[in-house]
Formats: sequence, C-alpha cells, structure tokens
Amino acid sequence: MNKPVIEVRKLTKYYGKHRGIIDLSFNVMDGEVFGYLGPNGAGKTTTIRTLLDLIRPTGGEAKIFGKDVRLDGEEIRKSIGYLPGELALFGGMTGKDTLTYLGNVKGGIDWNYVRKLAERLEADLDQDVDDLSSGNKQKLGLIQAFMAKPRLLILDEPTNGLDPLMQQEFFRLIEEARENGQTVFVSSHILPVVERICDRVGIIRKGKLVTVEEIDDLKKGTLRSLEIQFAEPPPEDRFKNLPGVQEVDFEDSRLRCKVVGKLDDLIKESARYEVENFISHEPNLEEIFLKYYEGEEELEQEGGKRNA
Amino acid sequence: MLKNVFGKTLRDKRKAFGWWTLGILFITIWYNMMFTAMEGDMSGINQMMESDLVKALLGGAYDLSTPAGWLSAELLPLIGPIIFIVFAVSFANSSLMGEEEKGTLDLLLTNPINRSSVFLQKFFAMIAGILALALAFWVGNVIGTSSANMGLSVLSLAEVTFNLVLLGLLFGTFTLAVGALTGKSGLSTGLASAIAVVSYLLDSMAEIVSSLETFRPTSVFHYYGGGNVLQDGLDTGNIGILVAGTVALLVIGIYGFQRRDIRT
Repeated sequence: MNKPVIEVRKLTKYYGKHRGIIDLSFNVMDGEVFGYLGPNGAGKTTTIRTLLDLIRPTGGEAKIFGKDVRLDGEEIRKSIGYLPGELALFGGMTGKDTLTYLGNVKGGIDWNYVRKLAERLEADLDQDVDDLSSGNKQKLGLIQAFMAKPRLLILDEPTNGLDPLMQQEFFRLIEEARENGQTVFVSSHILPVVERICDRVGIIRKGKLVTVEEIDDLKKGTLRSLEIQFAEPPPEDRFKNLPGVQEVDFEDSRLRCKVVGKLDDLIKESARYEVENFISHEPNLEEIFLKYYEGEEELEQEGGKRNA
Repeated sequence: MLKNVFGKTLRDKRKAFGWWTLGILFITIWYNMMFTAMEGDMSGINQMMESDLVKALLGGAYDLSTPAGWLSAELLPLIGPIIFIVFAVSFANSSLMGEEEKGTLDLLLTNPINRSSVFLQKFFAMIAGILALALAFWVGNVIGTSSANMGLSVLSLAEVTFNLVLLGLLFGTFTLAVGALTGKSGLSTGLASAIAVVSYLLDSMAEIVSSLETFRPTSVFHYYGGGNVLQDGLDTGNIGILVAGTVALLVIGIYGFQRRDIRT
C-alpha cells in the first residue's frame, strides 16, 4: 500500500469546447481497491480512456507504475486488465474465439485459469457473441479483463447487466484480487457496489474531483431513505429528535425518514412498537453527494455575488 | 487465424471473399469467352471504336479483333479497376474504421500492442486479400483465354493483374490513411470513390479533349495505364509512382493513427 500505482496530476481533457475532465489529481495506491464514483456523464470513462492512452489529455499528466501513460503505454498495458464501460465485442465470433484472440494478443495466458473463470461466471462460450444477452457479454468482458492476472484492473461499470447472483461472484473475484495484491480501479454510478468492494473512493462530478475519501468516512455521511410500517401509529415525537434521523414524516402508521450514519437509535426506538414492514431504499447518489454539491454551489453563488 | 490482428482481419473477410472469388472467376471467364462469340463480326465494332465517345470511355482505341485488344477494351479500362478498387476500399474501411465505429478498437488497443502495429497488420491483411483476389482474377483469365484459344501469354496476364493490384492497393491504402487520420468511415470511402471516379473521367476524357492533356498526370488512372499494359507491358515509371504513392499514404496513416483520440 505504500507506493502509488496510478498517479494523476492536473489531468484535463476537453473535446473541442465540451468538458471532459478538469484538473483531476489523485493517487491510487498499490494493492488498493479504489472506487471512482459519479453520475453518468461526470467524466469517469474519459478519465479511464485517458489512462489507457485511447484519448490524449488536453493538459496535465497521468502515470501508471511510475511510467507516463502516453510514452510507455504499450509497456504499461502488459500489466493492465480492462473492462470497457460500453463493451463492444467482435462480431461473428463465439465467446471462446473472442477469448482466444484477446488471449493471444495479450500473451502469457494460463488457459486453465480462464476456464475456471468461465465456469465461475457461468459464461456461455460456444454461442456467437452477437446472440448473447448483455449480461452474458459482460461476463466475457470480465473474463478477458481478469484472464492475464494483471497487476492493475481497470473496470468501467463492471456490474452492468449482471444479475444479483453474478454480482456476488464478481464481488468475490474482487476480494481474491485484493488478496493477491492486485490493484483495482473501478468506476460506478452505483453507491452500494462501491461501498461493498472499495477501500477508498474518489467522487467525480461535472468533470471535477469533488473528494477522495476512505469508504468508512463516506458511509458515515451517507443519507439513507427508510420506510417503516407500524401496526398502529406510534407517538411521533419519539422519532423526531433521534440522532442522525432527518425529515421525519408520518402518514398514519407509516414512517418515512432519512438517516445519516448508524441506524442503531432508530431501530431500537422502532422495536418498542409492532413493526409490520421495514424498507431501506438504495441510497440515491444525488442525495449522497448533496453535502458536496451544496458546499460547492454555495461557493459558486458567493463567487457570483462577489463578482456582481 | 486468431493468433494476431493480421489473421483476425483476414478471418473476418472469409465469407465475403468466397463470393468475390466466384464473381471474379465468372466475370473473367465470361469476358474471354465473349471474344470467341463475337469473332468474325468485329468490323462494325472496330469502326465504332474510332468514335470519340468510345475512346473516352475506354481510354483509347483498341483493335477488338485481336485477343489483346478485346481484353484491353472490355475488361481492363473499367471493369478490372472497379473490382480491385471496390474490394480494396471496402476491405480497408471495414477492417479499421468499421472496428472503431463498432467500438471494438477500444478492446484491442488496450492490450500490450501499439497502434502502428495494429495499422500495419490491417494493411498487410489488405495486401493479402488483394493478392488472393488477384490470383482469382489471373486464374479466371488464364482459364478463359485458353478455353477460347486466344493465345494470350500467362505472363502478360500476370502483368496486367499485377498492375490492377497496385491500383487497388493505392486506393485501399488511401482509405486506411484517411480513416486513420479522421476516424470517419463515410469520409474515407467517399473521398476514395470520388477520387477514383474523377481520375478515371479525367484520364479517359483527355483522350479526346486536348485541353485536359495538361492535367492528365494528376489522374491516378494515368499511371495505371488501362489496357496498354497488355499490349506494351509494364511501365517501370508508372509502377514506381503507384508504389511510392502507397508508401507515402502508409506513412501518413501510421502517423495520423498515432496522434489522435479513438472515438467511442
């Protein structure tokens, strides 16, 4: 964990006048699972495609394994496994053909390991890739990313199209990668995925890096939407002043609220009454970012006022 | 075939290639057989050959009563170039820009392979494809002339075929180069086709419009030479210019492909 595998310094990419990413700086350390979180269109894929030298930055620099991604790209990519965000597979080939071809281009593949990966992910390798569902295509994408046991895995929206069972298998693969000392850079717009697998997370919005945090710190600030259905309406006041519980709203015997941090106080209070149902909504990315967003927008407004 | 980019590129074309081969064998044999069918009835047509319109279409006047003249007028000025140029341009287009537009270039270029190598492998795959096409063209002509007893030498048919290979290669490489520079498949095929048509018209019209003569050297078809190769043999100078053009475009293509963003 001591030396950085990815170093990004003031990395900027404009597509003509369109914003891609602006002044990004962060490090991903050796052996860490780093989450790259942001809504669609925030610049995640632009960052990744720059790291892989598919596109060239307008400014700044990026290094992987201490080498410039632009100058030593070929050398660097020997130790990278990559899953594209929008995976396009070669037409007119089976899954097996696809892996054979990519494996040959990569070189040094342990085919036994590839077979095991395919079994674990229950990938259909005999069908023409054009006929595969998006989930089955994604499995092929994952296999080819992992197949060379690379030092660094760069995965762009890896859970796209995977059913819950396969997501679990994917989580296990990431755990194993962590145990093997591989470094993982994973982008996602889904918070639970990042929470589940990452050590640290970088949050990107509108092309700018908002923050880089330990995942535990992020969880502390996570705003969770909850719904509790009681058998009978409980006394409302008892819920209004619980620590971390906000926006308490009663509709007869149904409680809706938002909770920051631990759920402990709310659960213990609820347990005093008869609970019929308990629904935890998946945290909304926009809501989680709210604190960063608000801060930034206030600053922007202040700046505006000062200028005016 | 899945060992590398070269093999994979050829593999992608294997079905289309079967149809091309069949088509070419049919066309070449048919044209040669037509000579026997038309024989003895050539005087009228030969008179027609003297008309400006026909000269403009064929790029010169040929004696259709001789086997060499027949092929020079019928197969070599237009049909042959169309076959080789269309094949080369579409091969180049689908192998490089097709892959970029589909998005699979991302998957390929993120491997430990550099862009020049990918470009060169695509280029050599195109050469292999054109050579295989040329073999079919040559075999078809050899079968055709011998069954029609036309007495054309195997060697001069090979020379004519080689000349077509160079022409196709130049246009194919042009398509690759424009595609590598811009990543736009419509632009590269469109431009290649436009240049081919203008080149052909310029070269053949110059036969009858003397004021166009000055511009003739700007036409690619001027260096291809049409049917003259069958009568006079290959011209080293012309070959040199076609090859030099191809090499120049190859260098431009590699350079262009290195420096730009791959589109999503």
